[in-house]
Amino acid sequence: MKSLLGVLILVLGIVTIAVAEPSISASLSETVTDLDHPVQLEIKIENARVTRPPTIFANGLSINFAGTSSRTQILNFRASTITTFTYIVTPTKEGTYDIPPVEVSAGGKTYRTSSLTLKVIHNDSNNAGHPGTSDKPYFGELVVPKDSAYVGEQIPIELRFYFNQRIQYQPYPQGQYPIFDGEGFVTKKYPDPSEKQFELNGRPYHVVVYKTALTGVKPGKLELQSATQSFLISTPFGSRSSPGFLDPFEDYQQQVVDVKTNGASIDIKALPAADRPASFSGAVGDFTLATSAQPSKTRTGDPVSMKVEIKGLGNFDRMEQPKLTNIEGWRTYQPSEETEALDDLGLSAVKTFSYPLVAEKPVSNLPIVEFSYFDPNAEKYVTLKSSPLNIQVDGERLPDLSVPPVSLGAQGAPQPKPQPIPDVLDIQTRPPAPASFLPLTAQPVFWIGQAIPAGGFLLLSFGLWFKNARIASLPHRTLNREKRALWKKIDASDNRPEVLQAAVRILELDIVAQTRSKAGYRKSLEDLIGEEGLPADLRSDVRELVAARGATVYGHLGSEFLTEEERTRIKSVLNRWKAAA
Amino acid sequence: MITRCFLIAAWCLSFGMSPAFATVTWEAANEAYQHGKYEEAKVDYIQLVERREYSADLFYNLGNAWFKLGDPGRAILNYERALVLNPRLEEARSNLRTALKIVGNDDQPTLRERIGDYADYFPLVASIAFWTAAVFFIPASRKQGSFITFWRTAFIAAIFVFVGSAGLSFWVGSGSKDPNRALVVESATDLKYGPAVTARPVESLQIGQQVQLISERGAWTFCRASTDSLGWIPTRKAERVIP
Repeated sequence: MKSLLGVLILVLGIVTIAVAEPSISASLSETVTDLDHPVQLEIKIENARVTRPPTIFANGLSINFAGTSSRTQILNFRASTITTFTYIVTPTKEGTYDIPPVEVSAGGKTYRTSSLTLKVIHNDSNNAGHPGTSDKPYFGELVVPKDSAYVGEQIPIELRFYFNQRIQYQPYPQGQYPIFDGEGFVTKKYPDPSEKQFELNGRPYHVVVYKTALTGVKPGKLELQSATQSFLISTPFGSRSSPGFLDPFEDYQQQVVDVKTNGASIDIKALPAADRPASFSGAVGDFTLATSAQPSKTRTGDPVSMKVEIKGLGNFDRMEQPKLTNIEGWRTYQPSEETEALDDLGLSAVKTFSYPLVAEKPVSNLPIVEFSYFDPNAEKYVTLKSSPLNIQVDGERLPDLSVPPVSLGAQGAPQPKPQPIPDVLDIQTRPPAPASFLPLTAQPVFWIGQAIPAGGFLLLSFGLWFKNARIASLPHRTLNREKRALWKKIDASDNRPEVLQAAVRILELDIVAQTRSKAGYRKSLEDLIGEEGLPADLRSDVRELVAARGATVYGHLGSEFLTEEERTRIKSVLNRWKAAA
Repeated sequence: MITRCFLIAAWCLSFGMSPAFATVTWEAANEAYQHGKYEEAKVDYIQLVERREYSADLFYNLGNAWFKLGDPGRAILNYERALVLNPRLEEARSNLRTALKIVGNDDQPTLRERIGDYADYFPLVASIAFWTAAVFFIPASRKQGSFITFWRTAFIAAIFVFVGSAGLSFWVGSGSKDPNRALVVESATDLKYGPAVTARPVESLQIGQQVQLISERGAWTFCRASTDSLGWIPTRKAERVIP
């Protein structure tokens, strides 16, 4: 009974842990800031599903929603979800401000954060120079070519940083680019800066020029307060040198300075609502349109790639895919896009959309591409349409995949078409094929695969070597085989001529074996007996043996029967011969 | 008595508690997704990932679940993981494009990144070409014989393929399987000069932008952005592509 109670308590404990209460908290990245520096406000909601970011107001502060993130963590068998809403808080004036508690509803209950306080101080470190104050050793200048533009229109601008010729300078840290103060606009990535000489009020300056393009994102007065770039400058002490000439023996003082430019104001105009084409999606500039397709002959169900090239000058980074019309008989898919910049800023470019298309039935024309943009110079919308491209499609009609028609409103009147929400292709339900994140060269199977042919080659090499060695040793082995047979004959035979013949043959074979490896060098038994190296007694015994062989075998003299004493003597001579050799 | 209680509790933990995790299957996760229970599906897929049952389809489905839950950053990350495991999974490529479009990231991959998707193919091709060249060397090295020109041409061609693919393999390295490759998964991410929120920003990073992780210090990570700028970002704002 007690054990059951224990288990019950344990299970209840686990369940209590698993069902955690939602919680909410708010935090600021900094509690003290200055007018030039926005801070980040984060609202964290744990264990509750909230999709809409709460709206936050505070006097004296501009609070803008920046993004949502959520993550799930599983800790001790408990999964919890944390949703974070991030806001950018921009101070508009000095003072101490309260951000009131933020309320969030989840699961029928309301949760509140605690209030936050932000102190805004005045930062008077602005050392912005202006071209008018050119007696300064360094200053910045913002050059804006126009004072009005449309939302989305790209305005090429230049940031010029002037340095007295006696100053050595470099961006600090190296590779850093200027930072703009202000809001309501976006800038393009900077290409590498250029440097040139410039004369202002009769004084020569080195000028570092950064180019970029600025785009207003909302209508109204766009106030560009300034742009700042840090430089490591080396300034000479005193004024011994003449202006324009660097003295290598002069002492220099190094320091990091923030060089600010002047500000500027641009009137950003809203794009006209009148005559706005349905296919307009935000492109502003001046463009041309060209289409092509591959292949020109296909079958139903086979893919066709239709390329749409939009070329010109404008905001390519905000350009949406063009609209396809006359798509009857075609299945269209999300295109891939590629942008090729034609200048270092990317203002002039070619954007290519590749539409994968599949013909559902035999058709003779590809869909027509419609692309609208706003021309800021002509101040009107322009719609470009591609000419119909011919294509030959053969084959059977494909099964219809169209979705059921959308029901109309209560009165049957057509409703305004909502903005389509991009969706993703459906999930895969087939059995998953296991895969590895290990690079192929880190997987054992790769090296096993290498070991198999390597082993094969090793075996092949060994086989070849073995075969050659066998061939090379064949004469030696034949000699040894013959010698063994002769020795057996000497041991076993009682026939004197036969034994004497075998003994002399052994001597001859020894000579052959000794001189075999020396090309062109052959000795006879007589030559060897005559050499000085042999002991005298052995030499005479061998001569005697050879003579006995000659007399017995060729002269048929002496006994035909071999005595044991003579056999022993012959074997002794042969052994001594072998030892001497 | 205490021992018996402990044993029963352990039994409960292993057979009573863990089935919720042990019985998570691919089919169950897919069913949850198809019934619109995206949160449940996501947790199930994550458990499959934690069990290291890696597959391109698993990460693709997990990416879809994140997408449906309104987190395009982690959707992009998981589509990338699916493409690392299977660069020919066109559905993942299409969904990746959609998610990148939603977050406004129109950065085009560099040539090296595109080739890096196929980094595993180069050592494979190089090794096949090497052994083919080794085999062709035997007939090609003879002074005369039938088809001697053919064998010599084939040997030289195999050597060229070996050198080319080995060079490409060296150039792309681990490619998309680089363990230090990470993607920015949260918005409002600034690359900063130092590991502090008060540090000045180097540049703003977009969701889905690739960064190369170099070192970690506390909650901050030193990294190289795709523009080659170096700086610090909060560790939680970028996740490694290789889990």
